[in-house]
Amino acid sequence: MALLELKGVSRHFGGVRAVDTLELAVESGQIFGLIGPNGSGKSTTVNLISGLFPLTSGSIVFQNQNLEKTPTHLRLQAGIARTFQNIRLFGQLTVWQNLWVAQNSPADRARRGFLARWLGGQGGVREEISQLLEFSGLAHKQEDLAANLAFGEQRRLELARALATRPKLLLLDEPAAGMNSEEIGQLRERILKIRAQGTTVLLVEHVMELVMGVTDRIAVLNFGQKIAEGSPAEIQADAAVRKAYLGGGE
Amino acid sequence: MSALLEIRDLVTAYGKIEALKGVNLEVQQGSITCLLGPNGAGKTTLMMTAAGILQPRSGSIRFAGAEIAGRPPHAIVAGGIALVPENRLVFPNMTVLDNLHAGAYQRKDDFASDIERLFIRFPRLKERSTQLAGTLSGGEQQMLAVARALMSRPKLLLMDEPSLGLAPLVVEEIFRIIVQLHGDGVSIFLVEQNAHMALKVAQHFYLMEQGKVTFSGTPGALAEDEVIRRAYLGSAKA
Repeated sequence: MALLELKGVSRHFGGVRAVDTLELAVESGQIFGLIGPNGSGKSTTVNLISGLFPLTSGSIVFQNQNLEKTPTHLRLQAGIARTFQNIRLFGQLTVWQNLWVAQNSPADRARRGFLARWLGGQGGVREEISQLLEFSGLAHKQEDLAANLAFGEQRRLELARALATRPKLLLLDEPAAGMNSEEIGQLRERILKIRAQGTTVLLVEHVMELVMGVTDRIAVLNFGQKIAEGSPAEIQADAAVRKAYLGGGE
Repeated sequence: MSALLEIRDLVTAYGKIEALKGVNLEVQQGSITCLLGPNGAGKTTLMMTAAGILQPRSGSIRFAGAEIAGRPPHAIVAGGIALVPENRLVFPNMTVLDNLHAGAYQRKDDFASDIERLFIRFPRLKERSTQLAGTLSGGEQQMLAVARALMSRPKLLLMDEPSLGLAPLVVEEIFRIIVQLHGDGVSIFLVEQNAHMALKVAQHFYLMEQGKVTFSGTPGALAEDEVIRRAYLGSAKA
């Protein structure tokens, strides 16, 4: 049973079919890659799944529930978290505060109870934020304002902020942009750990070094339509994908 | 070759935090020089200081022999340096054509022929000349950011991660354009994480870490350095 299913999903902007009758099924526990040229509809797809704007037609089903009438904040509560291609942190909050805001949801308040949240120790709010800071390599920056972080650090904080909501499905929109090989390697390790902890990942990315090394399955978009789907090896060998996207260089 | 851009002991700080802690480097006349470094090393800070957007705390930036450190951005553009900023930063609510006009803001001469030439080099921009820049794809916005910078007819082009967030095919196109511009006589100072591509075009490399230059050398020397290889070229062959 797929965790997330897109059935005939379309989104038009004026005359532009940004996403056109897209079918996708992401299985629970998968790391699923979504690639394609700039402007092919990848970010729009992420925006549709996270509920930033409504579908023109089709349906999105998450854990057997049609999300049509579910607003963004309730999708987050249902377990869909994301990062943004153009980073959208709370710039004038510290790193620590960014995580605290994300974690402080109604569900989390109900789960832990008022006292338990602040008593510290195992399972406490501070403990969990410390773990996230450690995981993201931001512990030494926790008092810095998010706006003052370097680009790559802001990306790591965006990832940590999404994780602070304890998602079942994590949507990553170009997390490796602007990273060097070593940083991409660290990101790959993080994504694998996130999956190992039970979170399913949908990864939108241009950096093939990451996509080909971490995903189980890949779908390729072009002009809003799916032109290929398969394993990383199948996608790399696909002539249409090479022509539209990967190119023949190297 | 002689140094077109010469940076000495440059310090730039955000409040108490020094992002550049005494940077020394040179960009030779007619070269493509590439700056590598991890996130947070200060690469963008260096570019912004050279472009006059940030004021250095101390040190010297000489361009074509004249001291320009601390001069305002418009004076630096007029002197012959243009910046293609990180994340492109085109004016999203202006048309493509208006973005190009903005690039020529200080020019008193007729620049219609410049636009014609740029439209030949970037045919997609011509097709979309009346479209709002914010509606362009990422690759097209990067082309526009480059074209806008070229409107000031720079001698030196500062490019801050031009391949950021672009599809592999488009990255190849951007690098083709870099080689063409270089062929036209523009010197280029490039910040780039895609070291594989940069190795194909640049004649000199610098590595910056924590606000300082820690390596300077040719592409050959770079590819031989074990530590840099691992960080920038991964396991793949150069």
